[in-house]
Amino acid sequence: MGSRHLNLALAAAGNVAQNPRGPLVAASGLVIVLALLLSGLAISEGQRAESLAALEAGPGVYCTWDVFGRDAAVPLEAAERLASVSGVQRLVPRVVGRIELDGRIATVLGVPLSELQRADVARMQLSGAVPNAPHEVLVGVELARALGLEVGSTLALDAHLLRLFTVSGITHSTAPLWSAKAIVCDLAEAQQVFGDVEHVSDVCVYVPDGSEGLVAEAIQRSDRRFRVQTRDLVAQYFVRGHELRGGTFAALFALALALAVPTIATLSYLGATPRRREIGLLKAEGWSTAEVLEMVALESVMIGLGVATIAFALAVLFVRVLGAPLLAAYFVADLGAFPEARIPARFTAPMLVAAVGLGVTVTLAGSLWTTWRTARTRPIEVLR
Amino acid sequence: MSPAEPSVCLTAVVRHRGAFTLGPLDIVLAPGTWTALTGPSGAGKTTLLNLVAGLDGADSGHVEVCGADLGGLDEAGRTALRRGSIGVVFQERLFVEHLTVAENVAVRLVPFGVPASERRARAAIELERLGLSGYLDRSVPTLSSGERQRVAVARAGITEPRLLLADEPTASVDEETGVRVLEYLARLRDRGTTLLVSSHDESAREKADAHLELVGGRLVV
Repeated sequence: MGSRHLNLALAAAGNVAQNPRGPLVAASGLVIVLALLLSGLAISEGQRAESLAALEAGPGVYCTWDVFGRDAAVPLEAAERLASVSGVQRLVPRVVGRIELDGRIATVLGVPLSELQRADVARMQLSGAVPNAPHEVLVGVELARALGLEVGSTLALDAHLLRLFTVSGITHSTAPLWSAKAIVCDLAEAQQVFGDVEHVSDVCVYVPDGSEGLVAEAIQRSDRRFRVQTRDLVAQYFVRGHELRGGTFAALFALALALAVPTIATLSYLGATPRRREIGLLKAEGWSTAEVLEMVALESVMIGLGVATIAFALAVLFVRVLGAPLLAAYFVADLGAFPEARIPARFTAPMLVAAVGLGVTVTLAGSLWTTWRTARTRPIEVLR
Repeated sequence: MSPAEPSVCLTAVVRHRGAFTLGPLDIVLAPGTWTALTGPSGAGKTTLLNLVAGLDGADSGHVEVCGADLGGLDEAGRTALRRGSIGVVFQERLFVEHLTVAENVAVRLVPFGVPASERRARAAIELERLGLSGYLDRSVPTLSSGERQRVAVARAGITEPRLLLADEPTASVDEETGVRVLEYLARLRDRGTTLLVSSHDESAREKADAHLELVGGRLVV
């Protein structure tokens, strides 16, 4: 770097350090927008990673029943027949339904008690214990908070038949299976709650890795009424839905960032008469337009770096400490505005790089144009 | 520009500003001379200095400064001319308010690539000549108007320009300080700088080699 450029860089650093008020005002709005964008992206990435991990650990094939070309509940006897299909290692029939509790909609998930007992407790982030008896249930933390439930509380479920349960544990995970507003109970109990003991919602079929396609074909051949989805297909649907939601979110913030450019430009122009006079003075003292622009560009880069770093730190605090109030509910199903569940989030190096890129680009775009316009004006008009 | 060539040559220069008209003016300033510019307020002294500095443009006529025809130069060319050859002391005492006194005095040296330590040393010398030793790290807003005036003079003189244009450089200082400012300008003149100094100060006129008086936008002397 030539000493002229070094001088300009030092002048830029001096301006930012000695006169932080101006940049602070212009940058504070950008910090907030960028912090929210990073928070959303981190939650989106975290949820995607957790969901895909849960899918990976889950069954290879999912089966439902076809009635008039639509998904329907699987007759229990058909579900049991799947055990005889070649390649099937284990079957987990499930009941999934919605129920109203104190005016709130909750998801009831019924799986065989034996499956609950072999579930990954670490993934559930469980306080209490997994159910040991049919009358025990697990409750998601959001629902537990809303209903004032604790471990040991009694819970009445009344969709078809009134059933009383004891809360054995509360899950803090937001992974799909252990949704924060779900009630997880024994399969037979769930069937009783919904008044249908002859059907299950779907059947999870565990198969040897790599044989998902073959087993799916075999199931389909065994009975054309099965609707079969492999893990890869489910993952594809999930990723597509996830990308749509993440894309919408990113697009909204791209718009907000784009609006930040004219805002910063306006703030720089209207709120910075001293800055205009400074530029006019430098021009009068023989600074070229390129030199003025170089100095302001370097200031913008420094401010952009600061903005990105602060925004990244705020995003981490917002998600990890505060639980991303209001924002997390957009990404994670069944979360309240102020969630107690741990929010799945993943902050990555490329996100930091993107934040720096966005911060620098927006501040550059916002400041260079007004500076260029001022620097091109006759100094006497700027100084007047 | 050869040594004999004038530093400033104005030919039939006219500048309109609202109802006021400066000129037509024909002025020649020889190199290394001090010309006092006097006249009542509103006579056009500042307008003339701005025209010569290339900060403003003439509506008609030719302005030649240090061998360059300002009318033939674009904004970049006029900026380059100021950078290499012209120092200006503004009447309004303009500064980059968040910089220190030393940084303001040496601001002209930044684009020349002069290292910070050398800029500070050179600023210290100029400030000492103007009686402002120990003011290097003061912030501009804490200065009195007389001190600001001297800092402005130091900034214009730090590069020992070929032409120095000063607008009322002794307007806000006491007599003793005024003498110091004039001695500073005289030293520059003795080292070859051409001075065009607008002032109501009689002693400034006495120090000058030539005298121009503007009244109502026209030269009367």
